[in-house]
This record gives sequence, C-alpha cells and structure tokens, in this order.
Amino acid sequence: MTAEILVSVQRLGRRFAAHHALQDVSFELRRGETLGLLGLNGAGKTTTMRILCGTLAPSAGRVLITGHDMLAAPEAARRRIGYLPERPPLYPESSVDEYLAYCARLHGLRGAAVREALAYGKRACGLEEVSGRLLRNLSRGYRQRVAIAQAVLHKPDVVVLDEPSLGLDPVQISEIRELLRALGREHSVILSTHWLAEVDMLCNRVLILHQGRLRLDMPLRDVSGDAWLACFRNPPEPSRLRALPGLARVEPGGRTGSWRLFPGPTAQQSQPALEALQRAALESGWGLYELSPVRPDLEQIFLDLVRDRAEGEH
Amino acid sequence: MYLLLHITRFEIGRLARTRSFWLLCALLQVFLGWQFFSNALLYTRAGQGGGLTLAVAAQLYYAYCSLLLWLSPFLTMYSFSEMRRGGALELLLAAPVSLRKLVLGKILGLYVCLLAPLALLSLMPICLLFGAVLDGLLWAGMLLGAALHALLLVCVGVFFSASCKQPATAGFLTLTLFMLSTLSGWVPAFSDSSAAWIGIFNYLSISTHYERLASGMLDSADLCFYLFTCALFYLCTLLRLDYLRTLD
Repeated sequence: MTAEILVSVQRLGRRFAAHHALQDVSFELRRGETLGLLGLNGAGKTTTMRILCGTLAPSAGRVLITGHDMLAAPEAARRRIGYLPERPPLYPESSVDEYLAYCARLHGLRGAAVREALAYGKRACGLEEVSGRLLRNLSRGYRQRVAIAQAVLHKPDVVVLDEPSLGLDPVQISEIRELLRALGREHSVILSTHWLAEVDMLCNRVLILHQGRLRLDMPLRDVSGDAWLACFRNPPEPSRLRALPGLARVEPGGRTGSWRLFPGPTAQQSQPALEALQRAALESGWGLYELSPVRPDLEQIFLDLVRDRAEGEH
Repeated sequence: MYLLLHITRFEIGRLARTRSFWLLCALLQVFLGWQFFSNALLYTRAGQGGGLTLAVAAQLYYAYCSLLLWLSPFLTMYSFSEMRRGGALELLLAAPVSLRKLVLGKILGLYVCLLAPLALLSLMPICLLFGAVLDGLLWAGMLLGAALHALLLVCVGVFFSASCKQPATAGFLTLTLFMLSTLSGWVPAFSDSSAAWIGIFNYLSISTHYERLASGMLDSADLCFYLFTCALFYLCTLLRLDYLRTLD
C-alpha cells in the first residue's frame, strides 16, 4: 500500500527581482520518508524550505501540507510542520524549559499538553540535564538540540531541518545525526545539508537542486544502485550470467573476473536472482569468492550532475 | 485569545529581563519623584487654595509623556528588529499564529511595560488625597491622555522595529519621528499666521493632543487622532511583516 502524501510541492517558483531562485520545482513527501535536499550554495534549498514552512511566499506554484494549502490555510498547514531554520531561532535570555514551553504554546498546546510536549522534546533531544539552564550558556551543540526540540515537541507530521549540523564539531555532528536518525523513525523529515554522507546515512530519498531547478528526485536505494559486484576465480561468459533468472542487466565490474549484476529494483526480485547465481557458480565451478552490493558514491553522482549542467551551460 | 495573551506574557517576561527596561523605569521614577516632590513643595510654599491637580499632577503626567518620547524608542526598537537579526522571527512566522495576533501581542506586552511606571507614578498624586482634594475628572483626563500617548509611542516604535534589521536604526527613526512631531507642535508658537496649514502642524503634534486631554477637554478629535494613528501604525506593521514574506 502506498503511504499517505504529507507534503505536495507543485510547480514551485520564486523570484528575487530578476533572479530566479526556484523554478518549476515539484516533489512529494510521504509518511515515513526522510528526504535529503542537496545542492550547492545558492541552489535554492533554503528558499524551498522557507516556502514549505510559510516564512516565504512563492512567486509561483503551491505547497500542500497534509492537504492544507500553505497560502489559503496557513495556520492549519503550519500546525503540521516543525521547522528548524538555518540559524537556530533562540532567545538567549530564556532557559531551555521556558523557551520550549513558549514554543509549545505557540503551537496551541495548553496545560498538561505543554508539559507532555516539553518532556517529549527534551527526551527526544537529550536535554533533560540542561532544562534549567539559560540558552546563552549552552554549547553550540546543545543550542542546536534545543532548536531541534522546538521543531518536534508538538509532534508534527513533517519536520523540516535546514542544515542541522552546520557549525558543529565532529562529536556534536555525530550526536546530532543519531538524534536525526531517531527522529526519522517518528516523523517524516526533510533535511537540507551539504554533507552528502549525512544524506546517505539518514535519508531514504534524495533531491538534488541546482540553480533553482530540481535535477534529481530518486529513492536513495536507486541512487546507491541495486547493483551487486560478483568476483569469480573462473569468470563465466556474460551470456551465461544473463541467462540466469531475474538478472536484468550484466556489466563489467571494473576488476579482472568481476561482473556488475543488476537483479531488479526490489529485495523480493533480487534475492532469487542472487540465490540462482550462487547455485550456478557452485555447480559450474566459477569460483565465486565475493558477492557484495555496489554502492556508487553519492558524492560522485552529485558532482557529475552539477558539473554536467555547469558544462552544458558554458 | 490564548495565543495573544501568551505572546503578550512572553514579551513582558522578555522585557523584564532586559536592562533597558529597568533603566527606563528607574529613570522615570527618580526624575518624576523629584519633580513631584519639588512641585508639591512649591505649591505648599505659594500657599494657594486651589488648583492642586493642575499644579502638581498635571506637571507629573506631562513629564512622564515627555520622557517617554525620549525613552520609549530604546524599549520598542528591539521588539522585531532584534528577532530578525537573531533569526527568532522565523520561529514566529513559521508558527500557526496569525500576524494580527503576533503584532498585537507584541504591542500589548510593550504597552503593559510602559503602563507599569504610569501606575507607579500615579501613586504619588494618590498620596495627596490624604491631605487634599484632587479634581477627579481632570485627573482621569490626564491618565487617559498619558495612556493613549504611551499606546501611540508603542505602535510607532513597533512599526519601525519591524521595518529595520538593526535595532539602533529603528530607535533612531522612531526618535526622529517623535522629534518632528514635537517640533510641528511648536510651529504655531513661532508663526503669526492663522492659516489652515498652521492648524495641520498643530494637529500632527502628539503633545498637543495630550495637553488638551490633560487640561480636562475630552475632544473626539483628539481621541480619533490617537486611535486612528495607532490603527495606522498597527496596520503598517502587519503589512511590513507580510511584505517580509514576499520580499526576503
């Protein structure tokens, strides 16, 4: 069964004077998805996120959040979104508890619901120990956690995070990633970042924006490839491999005696094909000594995409 | 209503943590206390039998209004511009709160903070009731004038704060407008002409309207001036913030 569509972005455009920051961008986010938004500086990532959250109006197109139009019913749409802007929106003079309670109430929560939201936000982001401290006295990593907590404490359907690991040290980045991974289990997340590894690690779908246009929208599994690398001591002819049931394509693997196999897009399709390969290798004495999934470098895909476009335009 | 009160309460709490608010309160109380004491002393020494409300209380409220002209921009200039600079405005714009409630909540929060010193200074004339009689209606006129005056200053200050990214620029522009308004009230004093344009200058002065209310003259033109100007700046703030969504 297909999951419910939570965010529907339809032909979104945004101009700043004569500059087109976004052009004809369309995509959808389904329940349970973690969507990675990649792009160079100025590609339109932050603009897209701001339009999604209603802090910026689009010049063209529309955004539907759980069916609510961001322009026609902004309050209903915003109630279902949690947003972490690029700069954490904090009040340095407030304590963690005061700030989070303020944010919870801004989302219309009252009384016991505020206390529950506070407890949830602090537990989800590991803030229990610092709840009484002033925000200005917290480390950057903790401030970022507080900012993420304000985005999730009202348990929105969609959490939009704009570069959540920006400016953090490696330990803090690792902690924030753990946190994001946990959030991805409970919310649908749109994550903008420059860290390709972060997308590879946390997201199950990737969008690549370049010069305001959407260049790639693909489940991350397809990007990473469903290919398998098979290495043989006595490599068979490719025709024999192609004859195996369930293998869609066979390509040279780049190493002597290796082949790149494409069994099919889903696990259900790939498993019988791989089992057939192992049986054939055993029976025919091909000496299969390695069978591993091929994960093409997301960085390479990103760079190829961005460079191809840049070269095409010059 | 809940959200409006929530924003107002948070704004009051935020201001109560700033040094500028306590400095403003302290300056007002010290200066006005001194003025009250000296006016009461002068009145006693002159040995007049009547006019205590005008001689003491009127001076007190007039000084409060004049000081607010100078000091309120230092309080209002942070309301939106500081949030824009620090990024906290994004939090409010992304929250399910209408701009109307957001701006009104901010204005009310600041207004309460300016009414607090007014309430404290009103205790001074109340002290006089133990040994003298005050003109109640005249006193009410002064209170009404001072309250409307404070509301107008807040609305103007909040508008400039929403319009500027730097609090200092917002404060400077607010102060400049107040000074121009005060100066426009001086034009009739330096002109022999009784032309209509002189009246316009007089009408544009904030102080003129306060003075009329404080003298016990409840004129609908003055009330309209305050209410219309407050509504105008409130509307301009809404448009300005809405424009940020389109412009930024």
